[in-house]
Amino acid sequence: MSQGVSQPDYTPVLELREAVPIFDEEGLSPLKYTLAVEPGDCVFIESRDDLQTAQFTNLCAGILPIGSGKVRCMGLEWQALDERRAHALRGRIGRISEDSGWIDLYGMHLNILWPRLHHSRSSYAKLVEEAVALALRFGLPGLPTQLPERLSALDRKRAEYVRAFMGRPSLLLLENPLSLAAPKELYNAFLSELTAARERGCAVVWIGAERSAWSGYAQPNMQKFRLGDNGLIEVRGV
Amino acid sequence: MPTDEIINPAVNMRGRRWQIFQLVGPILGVLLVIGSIMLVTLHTYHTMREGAMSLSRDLLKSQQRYITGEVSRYLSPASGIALTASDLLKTDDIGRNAAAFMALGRSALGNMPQVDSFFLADDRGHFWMSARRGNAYEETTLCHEEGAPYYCHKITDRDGRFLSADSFSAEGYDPRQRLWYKGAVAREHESLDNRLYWTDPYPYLSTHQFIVTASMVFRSPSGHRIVFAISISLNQLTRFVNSLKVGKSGQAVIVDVDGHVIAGHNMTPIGLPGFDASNVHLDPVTQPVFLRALNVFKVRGDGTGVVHARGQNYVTIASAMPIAKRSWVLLLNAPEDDFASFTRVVKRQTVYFSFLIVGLASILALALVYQGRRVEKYQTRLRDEEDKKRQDSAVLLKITNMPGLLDSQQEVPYLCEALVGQASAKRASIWRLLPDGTRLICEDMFNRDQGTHGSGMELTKSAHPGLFACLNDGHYVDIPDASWDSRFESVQRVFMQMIGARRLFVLPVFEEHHPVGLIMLEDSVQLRGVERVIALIASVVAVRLGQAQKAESEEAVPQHLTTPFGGGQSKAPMKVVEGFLVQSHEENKTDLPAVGLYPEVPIMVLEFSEAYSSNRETAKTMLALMSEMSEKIQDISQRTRLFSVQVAGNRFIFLGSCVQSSETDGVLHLADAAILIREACLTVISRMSTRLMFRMGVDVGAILVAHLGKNHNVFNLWGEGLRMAETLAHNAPDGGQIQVSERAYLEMRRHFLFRPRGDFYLPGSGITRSYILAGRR
Repeated sequence: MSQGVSQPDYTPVLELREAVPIFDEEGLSPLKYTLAVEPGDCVFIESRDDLQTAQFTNLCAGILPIGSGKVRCMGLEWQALDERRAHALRGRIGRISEDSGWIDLYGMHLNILWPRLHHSRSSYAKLVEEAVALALRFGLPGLPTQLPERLSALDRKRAEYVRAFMGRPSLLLLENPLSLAAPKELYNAFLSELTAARERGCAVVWIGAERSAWSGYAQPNMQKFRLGDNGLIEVRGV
Repeated sequence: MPTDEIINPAVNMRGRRWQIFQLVGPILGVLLVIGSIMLVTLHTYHTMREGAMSLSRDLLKSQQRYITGEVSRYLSPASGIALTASDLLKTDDIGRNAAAFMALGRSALGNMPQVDSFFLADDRGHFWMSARRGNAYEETTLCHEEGAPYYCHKITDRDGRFLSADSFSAEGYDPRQRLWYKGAVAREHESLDNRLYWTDPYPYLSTHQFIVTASMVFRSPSGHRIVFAISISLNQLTRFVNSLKVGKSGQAVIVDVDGHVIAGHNMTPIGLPGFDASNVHLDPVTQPVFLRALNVFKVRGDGTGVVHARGQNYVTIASAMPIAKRSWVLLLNAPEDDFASFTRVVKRQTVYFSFLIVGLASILALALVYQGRRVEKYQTRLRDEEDKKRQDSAVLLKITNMPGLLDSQQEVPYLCEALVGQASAKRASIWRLLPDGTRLICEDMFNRDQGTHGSGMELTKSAHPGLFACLNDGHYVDIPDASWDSRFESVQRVFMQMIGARRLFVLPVFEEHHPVGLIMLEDSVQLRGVERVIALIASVVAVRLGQAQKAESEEAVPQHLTTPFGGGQSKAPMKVVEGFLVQSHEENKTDLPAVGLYPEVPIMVLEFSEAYSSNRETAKTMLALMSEMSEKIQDISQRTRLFSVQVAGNRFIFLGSCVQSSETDGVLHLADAAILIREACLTVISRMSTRLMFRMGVDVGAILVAHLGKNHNVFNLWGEGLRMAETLAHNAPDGGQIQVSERAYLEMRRHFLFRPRGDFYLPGSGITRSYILAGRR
């Protein structure tokens, strides 16, 4: 179909249109990446390379610069936004990343609340209330106040979920959100929270090394891709 | 989306700030103008007021000098005559002195109306007085007769001639005890300038005059004190002061420092019986301005001032009377308005003028805001138009770079896509006028919502006369709602109804002044600004369609093939069977084709869609419509000598022939019938507003023929050919189209016009290709 023929009635939450990232010796290949994730959509991307995974999510979050093409988030083009608005837009994105980014100088509760404290006008008490509710849903006894390093790996993962789902994000960028060793209850809690978020209109980009991680959740009509040196390739019938 | 965000990234604050500035800036400008005007007005008012006040003070000073001069002149006889008398009367000869005194008195009294009387006394008790009595003069001498003092009066005329004489007792009178005598004696040692003594004003009861007496002492050569006194009436001074005009409504008054009024309005009743002129003071109730001015004078001395009383400002001036009594003060006042009223008028006018300017400035500001908004709007429009032009240029570049753009044999589907994209239309289609001039065949159409191309549909002149009239007219037509336009009503029902379109844009395409086709845009949102693209596409289409028309006309078609229905060449009569739409003839009942497999049978399926309604009225209309169409189908089938027409539900199954060997005539009959049926059905449908539509599929394929029933007289068929025809009918891209299989196409292509539909996969047959039957060559 020619350009400008069809005008979609809704805006994709995340749209990569022939975006070519600036190549820095390693990581994401300087190819054209095209992807459109509409509200409520869940896109699965299989990626074995952690660096490529991280760079791709950074590309989606407008952190990785691009040489050509466009990356739009909620209808706004990252390149066209000034720093202040770009930061604010990132406040609408929930992320789970490989390095987690915990700061061990402060308690976990502050690590969880900081993004929302920075971006929203909600009171501290209200944020704590929301965080506690999420923490309970993910199997924590409450909002953890210990230093992140004092928590078990599983509890840190739970805390990561809490942070990602705080503030009802419009887009979730999830890097390997599930490990196969996680207890089934956590797996179910994560998926039910993910489904609830999607029903609210949240778009989800789930990047994982193993497709088996989402095999129990993926539906045939969901978009699936493989991220590698040859770019983002759509996978059908998997 | 969170609603508690501190920063909404969707809002560009820079743009918002600029918008706010555009709105607030002019308003601030106006406020600034208003403020400036107010300040300038205020400053001007104060400057003018100060100027007016200064002017009024100068005026009052001038008035004050004038009054002072007048009062000095009024009182000047006192000092002048006293000095003269001091020189004239200081001899030791009393008689001579008295005569000179009397002569001086008559002269002064005759010439100076304000002078009331003269006194002369010495330290030995002598006393003389000169005063008026009626029109004559009374010369009084204090004389003693028999030891008793008497006033001896001698009445004379102006020249001193004796008129009469009389005397009165002066018992107890001693001039040396009089205030004027004592005061003068007290000042004996003062310098000549200050030697004159003034008494306080006092009423002189016999003459009803309010007088003041000035006296001076001097000594005779023998050393005796002689006191000369002169009384001056203040009545005339009061009249003089009252007659003064200070400004419009100002007043003047002479008072002493204790507030006793010497001359002025308070003294108007002077001379009236019972009026005590010596006890008149400034009234704090009626004369607060004078009183305050006097108080100020007491503190500051001479000068001007402004006193606020009775709700307005008064300009005052107070000055001592240097020539008269030094304790006398001249007070003047006048309302400020008398002098500065014009500044108030100017101020009011300035305020009105300011309001006018503010109003104009506000209008200008509003105009500026409005203009700013317009400029912004036009800037946005210009940007949009620039974007549009860039888009147009890209589209035009793409069109011009299309390989085989002007080759009618090569398809260029992008033309319709570009039309849809540029005009934001629901659907765009290019129609070619066939050489007979009575039919338009769709070369290509693009549906935006489905993203699909279609072709092959035919519009006839008989069914759509308005469209053809428009085509021949040559002007483009843009109709907001084609269903309400009698010319395009049928087009809307037959063609546009499929996608629910209403708005229709039709552009006839001409090649060498002959119509060769037209371009249709349905439900286009934006036609403005895309004229360039449409014109270019129309030009390209004109060349392409012109070429196609030329090729068609040059292509020779054998005469025997152009004759519809094969004339009398059909080898077999039409077979009709029980249960079929076309009734069989009794005599032909035995001619039913033999049962078995027929490998190449031309077969067509017509399928009606949207033919059912649960609404009784609609169903009734639908039945009538179907009935009419079935009659026409029946008639056409007989005319075109089809082998059979079978009705099965919402489908009609047509057999062109049913023979074991391959033959072309059956296929051609079937194709002719298909075209006629399509035209007839579209004509019927176009007369009514209905969603009923039909599609047709044609194939040449294998079927099984069977005779069923107890009597083996029920003819029936099924098989691969029927299935293929049904599939083609069901999947025809648009209503009213005839989709033809590749095999049927191969047999019909020399005689009919086709457009390739595309490849598709048919289970059991693999990938096959289909075509849209457009019309006869």
